[in-house]
Amino acid sequence: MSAAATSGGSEAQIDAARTGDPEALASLYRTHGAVLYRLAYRLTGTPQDAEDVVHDVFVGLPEALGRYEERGSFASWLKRVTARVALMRLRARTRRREVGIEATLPTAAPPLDSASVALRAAVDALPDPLRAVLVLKEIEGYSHAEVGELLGISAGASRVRLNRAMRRLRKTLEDGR
Amino acid sequence: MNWEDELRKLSAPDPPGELLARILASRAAGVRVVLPVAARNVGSRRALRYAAIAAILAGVAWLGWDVLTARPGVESELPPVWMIGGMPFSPSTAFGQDRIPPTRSPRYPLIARIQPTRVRAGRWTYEGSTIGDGVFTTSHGQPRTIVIAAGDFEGKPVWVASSSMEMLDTVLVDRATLRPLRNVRPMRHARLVQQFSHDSIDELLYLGPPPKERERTLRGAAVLPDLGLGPMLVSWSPHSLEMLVQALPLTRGWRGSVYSANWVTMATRFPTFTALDLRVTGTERVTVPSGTFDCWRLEEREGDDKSVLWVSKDQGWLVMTRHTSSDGSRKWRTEWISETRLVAVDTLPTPPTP
Repeated sequence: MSAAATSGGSEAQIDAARTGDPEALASLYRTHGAVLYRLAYRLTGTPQDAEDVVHDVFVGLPEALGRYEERGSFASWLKRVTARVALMRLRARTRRREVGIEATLPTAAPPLDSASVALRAAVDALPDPLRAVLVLKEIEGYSHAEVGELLGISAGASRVRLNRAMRRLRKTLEDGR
Repeated sequence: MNWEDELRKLSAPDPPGELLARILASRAAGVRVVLPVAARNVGSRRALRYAAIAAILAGVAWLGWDVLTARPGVESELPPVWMIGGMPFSPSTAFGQDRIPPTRSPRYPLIARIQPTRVRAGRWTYEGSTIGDGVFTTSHGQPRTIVIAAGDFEGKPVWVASSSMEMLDTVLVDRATLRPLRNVRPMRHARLVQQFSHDSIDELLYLGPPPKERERTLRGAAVLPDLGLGPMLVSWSPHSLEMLVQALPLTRGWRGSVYSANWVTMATRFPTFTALDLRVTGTERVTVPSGTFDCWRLEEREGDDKSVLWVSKDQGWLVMTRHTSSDGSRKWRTEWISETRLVAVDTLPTPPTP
């Protein structure tokens, strides 16, 4: 069994999706869509952007699969592609910070206690470059080298940004108490 | 549980129920997205490379050198042509352009040092002509005006460069680095919008005649090649080169390469990035309708394509360009020479470089 088959995308599914088969694409979406959406949401900070990112990833997936070599985990490959699309979207847009955190919370989100709301608001208030490193390293579990590759910075710069992000978060949360 | 642990468990919502239907509807409508798939990890491919070398050597022995060199070797790697609204979309047929050979490595070191303060705002007007085998000359029609004006984009000082007075075909260029930030190119039945960041291009290509509801959209994104500190050009936008040559520290023997960005959504047919190799080959006094200029003679190569640019020594203006092309098969022995000559210059007040 290939690595792809063990990671949520059977070879047959991937082959069929490569040809643009809607059923196969839908099947891959059902397996990976939610995880990728959450990753995109954490990186972009809004459900609208997360939706657009996941939409673009799956619309472009059949053609992109032509460059997927079935080496390593399919799920990891898909996450990296999604992270790249989200980061590009992050750079392209002009962020509107005046929108309050409540407005960005979708109705489908699980109920949050006040501490979680404060933490999410603090994460969302971080500048994009710092939040991207924080999400990729601390929440998604990428190494600094991988974060550096995704963001086009060195592993050292990733460490520095994470340090800054954590300091800012700590300060914001302490000030809010 | 401290907040660092809580951070790792920070909840995020589920995707909306209709997202899958939206994705499938977009695919069915012909929307295509070119995803920025990461470059291959060279280190982990060593074994594969050795296997490929062995296979190539075996192939050479089997096919014979002549057979192998006669094969283009590129076509099979190209993804299939996109289908949009049931119609095949192939740039070679859609735009009547020949396919450009794949990207080659820059011939010279990438340009790392420029003098952006030398770039001036103004209008440069050029006339053009084409000479076929030295027999006849056809004027390119109306003179073309390149406009460069100072502006501001997302809080950043930029050059707004356009190849017409209507500012339809526009490139926004960072004044400090001379890298493009945004490229908008309206065409008869299409519109291209490229957004650049420090390491990537995000592109939208709208296809089809108005009204907008009938448009098809191609989206693409690409990771930039390693540019170092250097500038970058936008392909098929002459104003992009106009600015760069003003900022080049040309001297005898100067040489340097620069990347030019094509359309990401055309990656199936054109390489997304091509290297332009520039080299000073001498000096020359050139007379054009706007006057006589002492110029650097600058050779420009893009793959097998060669042009000569005459750049005025004092202001860095593009005074004359000459592009020579011949039938690649040499069957007809036809040589075409396209020339542009500076007709008028009207410099504008230029705000100081920030």
